[in-house]
Amino acid sequence: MTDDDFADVAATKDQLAEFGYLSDDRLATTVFLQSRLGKPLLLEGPAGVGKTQLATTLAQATGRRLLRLQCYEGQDESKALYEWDYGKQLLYTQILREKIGQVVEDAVDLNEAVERIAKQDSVFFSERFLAPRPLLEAITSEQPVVLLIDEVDRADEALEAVLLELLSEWQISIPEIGTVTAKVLPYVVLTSNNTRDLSAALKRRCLHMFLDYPTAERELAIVRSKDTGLPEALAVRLVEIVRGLRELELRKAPSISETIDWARTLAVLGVSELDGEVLGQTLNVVVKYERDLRRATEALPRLVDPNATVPDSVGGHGHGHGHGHSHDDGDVDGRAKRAAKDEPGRHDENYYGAPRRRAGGPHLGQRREGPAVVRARRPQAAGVTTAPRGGR
Amino acid sequence: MQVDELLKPFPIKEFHPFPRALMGPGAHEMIGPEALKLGFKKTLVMTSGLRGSDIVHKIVESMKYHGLDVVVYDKVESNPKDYNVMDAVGLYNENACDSFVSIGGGSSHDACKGARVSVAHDGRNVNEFEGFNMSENPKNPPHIAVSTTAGTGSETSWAYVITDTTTDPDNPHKYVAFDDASVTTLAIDDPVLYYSCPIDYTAQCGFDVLAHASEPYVSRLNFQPSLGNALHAIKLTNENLRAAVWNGEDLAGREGMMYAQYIAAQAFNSGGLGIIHSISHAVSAFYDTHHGLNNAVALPRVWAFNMPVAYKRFADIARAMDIDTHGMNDVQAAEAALAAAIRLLRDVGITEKFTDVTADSYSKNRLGQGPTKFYENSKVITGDDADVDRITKHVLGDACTPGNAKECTFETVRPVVDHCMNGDLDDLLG
Repeated sequence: MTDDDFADVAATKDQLAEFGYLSDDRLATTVFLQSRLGKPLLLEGPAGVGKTQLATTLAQATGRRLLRLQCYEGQDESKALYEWDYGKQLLYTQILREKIGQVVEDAVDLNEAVERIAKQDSVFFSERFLAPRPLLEAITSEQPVVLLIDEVDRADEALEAVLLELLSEWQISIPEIGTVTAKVLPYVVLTSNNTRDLSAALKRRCLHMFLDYPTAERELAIVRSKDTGLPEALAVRLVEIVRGLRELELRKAPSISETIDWARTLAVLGVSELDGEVLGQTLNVVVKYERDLRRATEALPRLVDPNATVPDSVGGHGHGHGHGHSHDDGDVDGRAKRAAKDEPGRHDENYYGAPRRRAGGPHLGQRREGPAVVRARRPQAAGVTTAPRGGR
Repeated sequence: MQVDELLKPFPIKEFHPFPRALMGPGAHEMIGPEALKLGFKKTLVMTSGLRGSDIVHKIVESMKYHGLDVVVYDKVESNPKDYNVMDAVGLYNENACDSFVSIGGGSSHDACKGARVSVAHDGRNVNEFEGFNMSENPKNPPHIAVSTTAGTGSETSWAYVITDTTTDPDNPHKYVAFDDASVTTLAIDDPVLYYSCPIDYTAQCGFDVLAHASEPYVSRLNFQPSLGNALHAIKLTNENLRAAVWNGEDLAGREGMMYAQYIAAQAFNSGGLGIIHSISHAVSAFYDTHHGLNNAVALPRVWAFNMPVAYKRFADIARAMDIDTHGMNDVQAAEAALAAAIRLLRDVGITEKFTDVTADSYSKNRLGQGPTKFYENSKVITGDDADVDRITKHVLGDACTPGNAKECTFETVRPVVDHCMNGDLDDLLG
């Protein structure tokens, strides 16, 4: 560990910003602490909030080499730690055939020959034939490195257990060789998208931080820093709209990188005004699922202009598809809607078989002519006759 | 006074003599043939706390034996939540089902009825159908309801109750939808399935029956065709509940309660309900407590509240509860009925006020797998002023409240709620 990577929190923030990563104070503090405490950093949070990017930038800012272990389901430790290079071992045996022949030449029987070969084991199971994978490489590297263990939540628990030794002792045990201890402590950044809970043991060994979507200001600053070419005023609106989209219950909420992509897209199209139409046409840049696309398209006009009416042309969303949703629902505050349900007497209007009050005429008169029972909103009920009886 | 006002409550009554029902020991074995008769091919079975008991397994196997395809949704929670219903709707559509079977108590049936209505409206959110006949499409998939408790009457009624957790998650709302499109196609009430119902559930469900029967008997909507059912249900409950609770495999006791629940539901279908149910819904909404338990706690208080407007009716209830009312005037007889109800409540061992209700009050005997998530997250019932206010407000907005015998305002209902929370039942006894 080199103590002089970062002078203090402010310097950390500046150094990261220099390489295009805009962190807030909390994150900068954590990164600074990591460099001083020599503990791994575990970043959790939704996809696309800059977890992986932090590791990349950390490497740039400290001039370290970046080693990346991308985790996936079914990954075994040989893919993460090291492998014996079987091909190389075989090649050496072929080349050294003659030499091996000499070793066993005067053996009296097969047993003795095997014994003699066995004594040479250590030749073939030495570092020469070891193919290091990212974790071992991070430990043995002479140069300081940043080790990114990406999406650790995707790895099996077995691999998580392997990490425990590395992260607490900075060493890896290789049975044939012994324990390899780190020469220079790597900066380790683990990221998780929360697809499963990580073990407490792993969390305990790490500095832990939850990275959420940034504030509007920070997100705007990030977009600005990426030189997307989108005019400032539009970027402000765009960030607001993306934040609105995140409020919808989407399967995959738009990430920061997608905001940037969207900004670039709009800049390329030379858009001078963010209207529902152009946003609707480019929505697929930020929304990646069919169902999400439908929801987002529905919500878009409201996000662009809260008082807008929905043009049917946008995204081809018609009302004929029959699932009968109400577009107003998104506008109404749930609490207000809920509070209205405590209103006394709200059911009196169509209580049981009560005649429905009609606007513009007293229902009393109708009743004298004969009971005109019209069911609220439903002329034909199942199993019961509710057709208007009498005068109507 | 306006004539209009005099015509309240409404001149035209509605009688709900449906659905068809199969009753008696062994009735559940008819489900396969009946389902075939109704044209079932692929059925979504909805059930709740029965996970882990063999009732569901046996019924599903018998349906499969008759050649039906079965998909099971077994995650309905007690006091069914809107998300339970919508999950089931999703499962129904994914599997292209054509029919429903619900097995269990009110939660399973109600969630299933909600799911049917939603399915018939292309998957619209079930919360949109709160109130009276709000559904527009009567083309519901057929539905067989198999009861394993005796109290709900949901297999018979035209109402279903759902907890709305999504409109305002901090302030859940339990509402009733009265909808004759939701009435089941066939009800199966088999006392044998009721044998393994735990003691405390049996007791609380029994008070659900008593509430279903007594509320329409005194309600402002009551009318002749439903009165006989109401009185007879009270009589059956009084005669059989103790046996059903304390001797679970007593056929007469179990059968008596099964019939009582059926006719009690027939009574309230037409005669309406009152604020026993409104209070019960409110408390369930906020604390996820068992509906029958809530009804049991609220019943004596609401009877006492309603008595002054219907002494005569309560005297009838006294006679149905086997009280010799000779020599008593109506007031005395009504008071005797209240005393008999409190005695029954104590005989079957039900918690007497809401602040005494704990997780142990009923969840320990759950047949299936323990309390649900929503319940686990609910808070301890405090019974403080804010709590009473909140519950009273919920009561006033409930669809059952307008039918209550006595006019309800915040000022009149609040003390009743307060008493349910903190009061002593002995206060009610003269």
